[in-house]
Amino acid sequence: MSCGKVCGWLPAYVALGLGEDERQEFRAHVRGCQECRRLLWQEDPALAMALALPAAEPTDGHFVEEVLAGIHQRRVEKSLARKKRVWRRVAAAAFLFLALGLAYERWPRVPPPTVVATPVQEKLVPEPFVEVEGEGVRVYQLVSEGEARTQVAFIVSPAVEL
Amino acid sequence: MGVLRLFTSRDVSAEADDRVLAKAARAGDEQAFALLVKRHQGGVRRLAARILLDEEEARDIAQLAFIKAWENLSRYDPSWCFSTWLYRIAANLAVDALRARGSRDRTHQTHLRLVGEDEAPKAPQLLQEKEVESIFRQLAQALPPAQRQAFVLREVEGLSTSEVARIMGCTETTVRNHVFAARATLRRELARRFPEYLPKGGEA
Ligand SMILES: [Zn+2]
Repeated sequence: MSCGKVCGWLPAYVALGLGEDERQEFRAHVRGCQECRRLLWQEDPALAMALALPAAEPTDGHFVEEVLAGIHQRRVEKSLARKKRVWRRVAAAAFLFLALGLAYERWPRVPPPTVVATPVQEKLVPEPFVEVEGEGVRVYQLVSEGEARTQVAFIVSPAVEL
Repeated sequence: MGVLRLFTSRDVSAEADDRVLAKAARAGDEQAFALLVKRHQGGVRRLAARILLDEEEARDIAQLAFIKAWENLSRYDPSWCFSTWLYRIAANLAVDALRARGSRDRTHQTHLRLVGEDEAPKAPQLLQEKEVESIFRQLAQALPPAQRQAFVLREVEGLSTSEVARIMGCTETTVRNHVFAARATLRRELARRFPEYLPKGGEA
């Protein structure tokens, strides 16, 4: 790619309007061309700075092992946390069970309904009374008001002893 | 396949290979996963370092990103480049760490200057990579997390706007807005801290 072409693309690059392929071409050229970087710096120092930053990637031999160790450690921690959770739930359930048991034991009992024996009141039955009229005798037996009718018995034999 | 462009030495078969390895790893093959870690550790660590501006913290975040990737392999969607998926995990973890760190950064290195600052400033195009890195680290402290993430992913790492949007979970327009805002902030900070490197006739 030529420096002239980069010059032509510069305004669009600064306006963030360059197509993606051209943009990557532009970036690759400017990274390696001091003159074009100077031009870009004149237009926008921040964009020029971004392309002047070192592209080196930090690496070290222990990183991968440390990541794997971290994964194992997290796995152990998670498993422990899970076990803890299970035990905590078991303990909570046992506690609840005990508490309910105790509460049941100590709960004031509802006394069984007491049956009070009350003497059956004898109905006051009025005494029968007798009416004699000539040869006939009438014996009246009156019943209480609640009952619908009055029972009346007649005894007509004069020989009957009352 | 924007991520492929990040690694110029890699070709399409490498990405296909990544998917095969990811599939094996998903089935529990730790050796396959170890190969993926070996292959991508550099890129993931560099990305985390550029967002966090701290190599040591970046190393921890990169490790955590790989561990999370292992634990979530069952959720890996093979329509994604494996490296984009990894970048997403790492970038989000780095941004979370950055947010948790709060404003400590800004007070931390405010007055740091380049080693050898008394020397006459070089023309910016002649700055050594390490010097650019040092300037960038100081300027980028002023970038809020989302702007930093978008700028690093798109302009430094070279991902496409659509990939950055996918990683950040926002629209392409939002990505562009973040990048524009980040560029303005970086230019303002350059004018404030290193005015000698401002383009001629350039104002903050
Ligand atoms: Zn050139």
